[in-house]
Amino acid sequence: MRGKIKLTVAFIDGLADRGQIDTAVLRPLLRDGALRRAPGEAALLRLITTGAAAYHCSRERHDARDGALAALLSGQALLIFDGLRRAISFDVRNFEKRGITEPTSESVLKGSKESFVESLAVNTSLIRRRLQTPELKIECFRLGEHSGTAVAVVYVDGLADGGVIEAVRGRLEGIEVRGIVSAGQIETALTGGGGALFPQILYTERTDKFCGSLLEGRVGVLTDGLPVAYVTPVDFNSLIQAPEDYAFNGLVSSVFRLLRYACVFAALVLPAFYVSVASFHQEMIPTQLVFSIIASKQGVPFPTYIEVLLMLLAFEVLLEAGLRLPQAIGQAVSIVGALVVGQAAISAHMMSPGVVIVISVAGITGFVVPSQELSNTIRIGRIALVFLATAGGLFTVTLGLILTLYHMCTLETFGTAYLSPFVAREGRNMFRDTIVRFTGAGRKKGRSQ
Amino acid sequence: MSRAAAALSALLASALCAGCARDIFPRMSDIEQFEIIRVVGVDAADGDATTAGHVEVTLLAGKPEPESDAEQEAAGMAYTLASESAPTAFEAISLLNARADRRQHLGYIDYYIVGEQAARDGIAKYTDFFIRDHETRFSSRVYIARDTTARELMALSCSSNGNLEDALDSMEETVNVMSNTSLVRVIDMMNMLDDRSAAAVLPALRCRLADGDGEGGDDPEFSLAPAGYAVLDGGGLTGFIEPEYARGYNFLTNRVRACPVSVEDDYGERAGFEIVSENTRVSARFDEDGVPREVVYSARVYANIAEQHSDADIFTPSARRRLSAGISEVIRSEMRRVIARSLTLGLDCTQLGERLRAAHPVKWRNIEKNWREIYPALRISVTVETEIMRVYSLREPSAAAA
Repeated sequence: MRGKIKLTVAFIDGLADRGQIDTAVLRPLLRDGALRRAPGEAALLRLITTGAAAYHCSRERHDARDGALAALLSGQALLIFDGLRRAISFDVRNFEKRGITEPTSESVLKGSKESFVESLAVNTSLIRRRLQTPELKIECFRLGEHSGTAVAVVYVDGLADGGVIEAVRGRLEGIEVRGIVSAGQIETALTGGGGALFPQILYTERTDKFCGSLLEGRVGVLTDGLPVAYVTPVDFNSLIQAPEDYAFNGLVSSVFRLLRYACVFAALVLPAFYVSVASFHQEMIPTQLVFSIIASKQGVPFPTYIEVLLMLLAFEVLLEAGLRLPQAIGQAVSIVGALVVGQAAISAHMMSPGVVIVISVAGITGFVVPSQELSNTIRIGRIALVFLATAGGLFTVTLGLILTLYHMCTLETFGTAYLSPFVAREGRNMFRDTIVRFTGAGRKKGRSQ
Repeated sequence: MSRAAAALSALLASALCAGCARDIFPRMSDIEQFEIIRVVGVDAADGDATTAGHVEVTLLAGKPEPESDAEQEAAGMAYTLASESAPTAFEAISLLNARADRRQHLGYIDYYIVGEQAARDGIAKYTDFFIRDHETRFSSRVYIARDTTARELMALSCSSNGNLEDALDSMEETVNVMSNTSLVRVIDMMNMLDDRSAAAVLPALRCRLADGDGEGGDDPEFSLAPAGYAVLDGGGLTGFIEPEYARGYNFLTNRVRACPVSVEDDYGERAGFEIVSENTRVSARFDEDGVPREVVYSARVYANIAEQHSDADIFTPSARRRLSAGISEVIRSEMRRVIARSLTLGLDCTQLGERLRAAHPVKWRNIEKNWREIYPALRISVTVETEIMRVYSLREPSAAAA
């Protein structure tokens, strides 16, 4: 440089990469001929922003302090021109991030082992790698007054419904919070936070499931800092489906899907059904079974519904304990709870074996559901149904199921009926890829087609 | 939300209107509070003039199976037997309920046994309560206790076998392999009693002293055995189809599932056959007034060779012809004896009228009212044609003649 120009470099240690600052910011200033010949700050600023010098990272000029500060806080390095009261930000971010691992909450049998991580950039690159089409659109927003969290709306142009995209954008822009720190904030904004019992948004940590949903015409939302992605609109049928369904032939996956539907019903209704038949409709039980049940209940001091409620409570406690504790201890708690305490309770005639079997079967069938959120709904629903069964047996259980069905019929997510395609006159789609999947049917066409 | 409220209100309103009880919801009764009744015996109460016309009800309640032998010993018998008589079956049941420590549940009754005297008095009167009751099932089986009362038959059988319902369950196997009795459900009995043109035919049971038992001072052992069929006219017992030819009734009514028949072969030895299938058709000849004068039962029977005592090859065409004729004769004889018994009683025991109605509905409309007079005057003949289909693992017997 012809004269000495005083510049300031600012960055947050840990967020910016010192090596990149050295090679990508400082070295061109000292070595680049054009920059060295710059007569003053203004000329230097112009040269850098117009691309006269060879910089290997993206840069942006900031004329206002707020913009520069935001860039600094996001991990970029600032080259501050004190005399001009201007700054240029260089994207030299390189914070520590977790590597791509196997999904922890959605196990994979036959499919990709990739899961999302906390970095939005990594997540979008994972999606780009799978969907190499210019139609894939990723729109970024900054949300949170103080957190400035990056949120991306992802969709495939031409497959996704324009109305849904617009609605998602609108809802995200409507978020007015100090910071996005938990998954629930995005989720509440997208679902409207209504009092629906059933999950109205699908979340996944699996990239293949997310990309599959985009190809079906759904819209995805990724949040920086969260290793999960949201997909909307969602219907009940999609919550029962698993990505592996498309890895097997139609007949096999149809059998598994039917099994899953049966398991959802069993997980929801079995405890209430047991209370109903044991307390109100004994004549429904086969003769040999009724003697077994009576024999097993000899000496048990509680009526059936109390037994069932206690066991359900114990089951939920065990689940929660298993989730909160470290994995190794959690397994030990499950074993001690299920085997030791369960067996001791039966031996002490505190619980009857029939109730233990019913609750265990209901619990296990509940785990078959791929969606954890739907599984949670079932867990709450079955307790409610047990209370109804206690009131009036199968009569009130049926009443509860009718009301549940009614509630599901009234639900909509972004204009899509929750029970779609079983309702809303969608014709042949009803049997194309729903409870059963015919060979060849699948993700060839989007929802909007 | 208003729609949800409306739907909820409608459902609750329907709940209020649907029940007959004062409570909206049914009353809860836990399963272990019940005594499960498995077998019901119904008799005409015997005794002095004060109990004349009373109904005696005997209930056999099953007990849950103890987990260990020690518990079984402590629990005593695996059943409880209790009887009570009253002017009506309902009162008798109420008395039994009142004295029981648990409420008796009638929803698991598998068998009704009606005493011979009660059957003679009119079975409808004695079984009306059980048919009418909301807990009982129409699929329960009905038997007539022959030469005894239901209470005595149940007590004797329980004291010997310990488990009456198991003995009754084994009757199903008897039907499958012997075809000398059949299973009649309550709903079938109701249909038969409603059919005024035909007799109601119900399977009969008797308690038989087991062979050789009771001779050495031991307690005698009894077992249940089929005792032919009871024939009821207008609900009252009028006679029996004897067990010796009861199988003929099943041939006439197409109820044979499988049964053994043995005949003498050309060498004077016995050959055993398993009847595996049969089909009996009915053809009638009507006069110019549309009244049936002659009926022919044509049975087609299929049999397999199950056993032979001679060492000759009996699977040759000529031997099979002679054996088939022998089998046909045995079956024809049994069928004819049932028909003869029906004609003697003057009652259509084989539901012939029903088969004519199905085959000739227009003609039946004209003769239906007079069927009870027409039936005894019918000329009924039987033809049986038997085909021996196959042998089992052996075609020729071991050590066959060269």
